[in-house]
Amino acid sequence: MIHVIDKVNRHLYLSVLEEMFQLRHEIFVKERGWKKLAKPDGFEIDQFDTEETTYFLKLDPDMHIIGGMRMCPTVGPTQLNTIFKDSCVLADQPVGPEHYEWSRYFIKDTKYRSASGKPVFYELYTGILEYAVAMGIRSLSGFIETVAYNQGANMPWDFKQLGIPTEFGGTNGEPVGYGMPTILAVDNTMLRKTKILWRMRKPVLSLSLGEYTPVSEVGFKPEVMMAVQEFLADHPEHIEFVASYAAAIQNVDPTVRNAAQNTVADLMDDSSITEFSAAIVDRINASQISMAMQ
Amino acid sequence: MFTAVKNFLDEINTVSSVRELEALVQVVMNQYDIQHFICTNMYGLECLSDRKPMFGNWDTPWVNHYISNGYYLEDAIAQHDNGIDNDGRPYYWSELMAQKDLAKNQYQIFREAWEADLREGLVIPLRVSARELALVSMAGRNFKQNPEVRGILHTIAMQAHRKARDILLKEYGQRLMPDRLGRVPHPDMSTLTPTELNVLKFLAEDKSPGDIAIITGVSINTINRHSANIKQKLGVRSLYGAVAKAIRYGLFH
Repeated sequence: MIHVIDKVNRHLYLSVLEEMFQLRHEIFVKERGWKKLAKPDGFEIDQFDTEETTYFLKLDPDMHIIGGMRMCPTVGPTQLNTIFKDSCVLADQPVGPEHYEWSRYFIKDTKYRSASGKPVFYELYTGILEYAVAMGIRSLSGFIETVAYNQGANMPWDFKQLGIPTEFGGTNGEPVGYGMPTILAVDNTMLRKTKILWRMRKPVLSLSLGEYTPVSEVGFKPEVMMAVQEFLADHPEHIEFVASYAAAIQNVDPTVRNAAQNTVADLMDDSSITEFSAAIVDRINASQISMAMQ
Repeated sequence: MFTAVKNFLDEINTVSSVRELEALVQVVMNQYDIQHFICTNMYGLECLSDRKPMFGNWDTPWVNHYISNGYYLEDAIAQHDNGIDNDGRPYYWSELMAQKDLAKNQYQIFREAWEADLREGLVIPLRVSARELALVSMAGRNFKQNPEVRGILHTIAMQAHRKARDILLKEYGQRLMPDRLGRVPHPDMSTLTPTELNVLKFLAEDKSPGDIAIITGVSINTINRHSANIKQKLGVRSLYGAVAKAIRYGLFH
């Protein structure tokens, strides 16, 4: 499942984010040779890794990273209006709360396949698109390698060029890259078509509760995930309860699932409880998930 | 500098046939003094045989000479792109000649191209997936190496290829339509609508409902509804049964 890490739940993923920055150093600096990104401490962190950045990570059950990507708001500095600011010669990068920039796509384990045989990038892209549609995001722009753009020809996407392909890098022993700025229009139809094409029938986002996240490979609808995040932002003390309820609801044993649901139903009926809203926990109900593996 | 490419990107949305697309590409090619441009499906595009042209000005003396001599079998460019897992970067003919140790016959092809006034060319590999590769080749008498022009031509090639691919796949879907409607041997078959016959034909071509939805541009639910109607009309319980019945009743012959 794809974990979504933003400013609300970042404290639950401190060690994972540390691992991600090290992994990015490993991949982008050591393997791909982008020396400009190197930092003495071995953490590949740049000016776009801010509090507003959202990370999408595919984690294994031991919370180790298999692949990931980041999404930054366009209202501040972006790659396309700083590093590659001269590259958007065909159209400008749209700016606003509905437009985001994606970057730093990486897959650590390219041979990994999910229980139903899907590669990591299927889940990662589906997760990002699910989240983006739920957030009302209308476009994802970014500077990508040209070869990746051609592969998008197979997808039912409105994927446009903002500039022409150009070479970049090539100084101080860095390799010469070949890429261009692009923009992907995001809406519910393209998400639906993408999922049909990849045969991804279920949602792919995890509840994103850090190490409290149930290990089962069951995804939640983005609306549920966001509602839970919102609730936990106000009531961080209830995280263990939410996590154990989510784990129980995913249990293969129906008696465990029923018992958990009954417990929450009782809590909702109990008018003496005022400091805790069981209704939010009830949103993580059995109708929102499917026990089928993705 | 970028007006021509911007106009091209605006106008390509209105194109609905390969012929129109070729005319549109020709306008840009004329601006850069390019006499030869051709996009070939090297392999993988299901609606076209391998090494068949997708679009371009391929009815020219040079292309006829090239094909009639079977140069596509030994051409260094075709071999270069077939064998390697490159990163999709365009390259010039002269770069290839400088980097590769070419055989005598392969030099001969470049020499003959030179004599046909194609003195320098640009090759743009377009790898859609590990199993699908197209190659755009452009050449002319006064072709100069220039990074910006290369970027523009690469853009034209990518977008034209995308469009041609869409058009060809769509036409392919329409061609698969059974052309013997009304003359089907069994009365059961004549109860099917043309759309249902089309879906049945795709199923017999080993396409899944998801594939058919994408090819025909409708939702998977629509395809499933057609499938359900087919089963009901043919009085079978599964799509396997429907395809088997269609074969038995001679729909595909």
